[in-house]
Amino acid sequence: MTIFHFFALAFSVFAISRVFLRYKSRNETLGEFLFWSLLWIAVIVFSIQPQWTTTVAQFLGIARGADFVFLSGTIVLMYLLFRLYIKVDNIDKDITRLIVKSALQDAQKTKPSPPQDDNKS
Amino acid sequence: MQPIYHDVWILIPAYNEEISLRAVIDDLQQEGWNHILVVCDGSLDATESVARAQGVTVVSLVMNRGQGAALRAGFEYLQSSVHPRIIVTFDADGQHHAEDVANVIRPIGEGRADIVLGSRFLHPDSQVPLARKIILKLGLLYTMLVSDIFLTDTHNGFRAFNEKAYTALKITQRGMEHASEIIDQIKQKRLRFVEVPVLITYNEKTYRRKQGTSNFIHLGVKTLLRKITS
Repeated sequence: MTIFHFFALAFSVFAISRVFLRYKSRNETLGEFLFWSLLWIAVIVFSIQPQWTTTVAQFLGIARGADFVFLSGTIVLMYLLFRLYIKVDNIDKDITRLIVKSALQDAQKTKPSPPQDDNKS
Repeated sequence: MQPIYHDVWILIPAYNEEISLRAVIDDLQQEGWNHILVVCDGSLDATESVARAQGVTVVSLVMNRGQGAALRAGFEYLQSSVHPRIIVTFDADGQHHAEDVANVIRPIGEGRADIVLGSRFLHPDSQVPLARKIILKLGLLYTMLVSDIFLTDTHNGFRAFNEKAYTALKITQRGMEHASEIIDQIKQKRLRFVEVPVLITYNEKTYRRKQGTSNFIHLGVKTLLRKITS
């Protein structure tokens, strides 16, 4: 095991502990806990046995283990980015909804009376 | 004899338009359009004061959220408070002409349309700067491909809606992408629409501030993302 693999292993163990603490304090759903745990377990496994990345890569039809790690990481990042985009978009919509609602409530206090006659004179 | 249109409200979304707003409201009132709602979209200047001084109805957003949000607030306010027969959206920057309002609402009054869309390209006197024309024409092609509707002007804020249209439409996009959203909903909800020529007058300020190439690309990407994620 190289120094890099050791640090990757240590960081992964730390990350899993944080994930577990968040789940325990109900700041994370079971699905999120399982997702992040599996992710960091995969990092731990491949840190201890890096040659397994080559085995998995070749099973999937990818030439090198490093390519497999890079591609997998990219896919995971893109998915997380997409989820983040959705979340930010929903928050943005909520902010707009609140601002519009507040403006309408203020304006309702002085709403105009219905038109009495033709709009054009 | 020209038909008399009852119960028409002019909805003006306004952001930092203290300079032009007074003249816009004056022109509309001189044409006889006295039911005006200005939605101040978190303006940092005296837009709201100008609107209130003109004696029009004002709805004020505490933060700038974009023209889509301002229109949404205006539609919801008018629908719940006044429920007019026709709502006309009109820009606050002086690009639109009050004389065109009657032409814009005529197809609705005659029962030919639920929504009337103003088109600068149908008006012989509109002088659209070349760069802007190219961007808008690309926008037409994009709209045709993405929304499957052919229009001559897809991003013109001069529109009229009858009761069926403004109650059916749900604007969820707060920025300029609301224009594409309206077009999508015209098709989805099978609303009858026509385009009418409207004169657009550009000045240096509006030309600089309005959609440039980067904004056009940004709008296109956001429209695609909206379709993917909806």
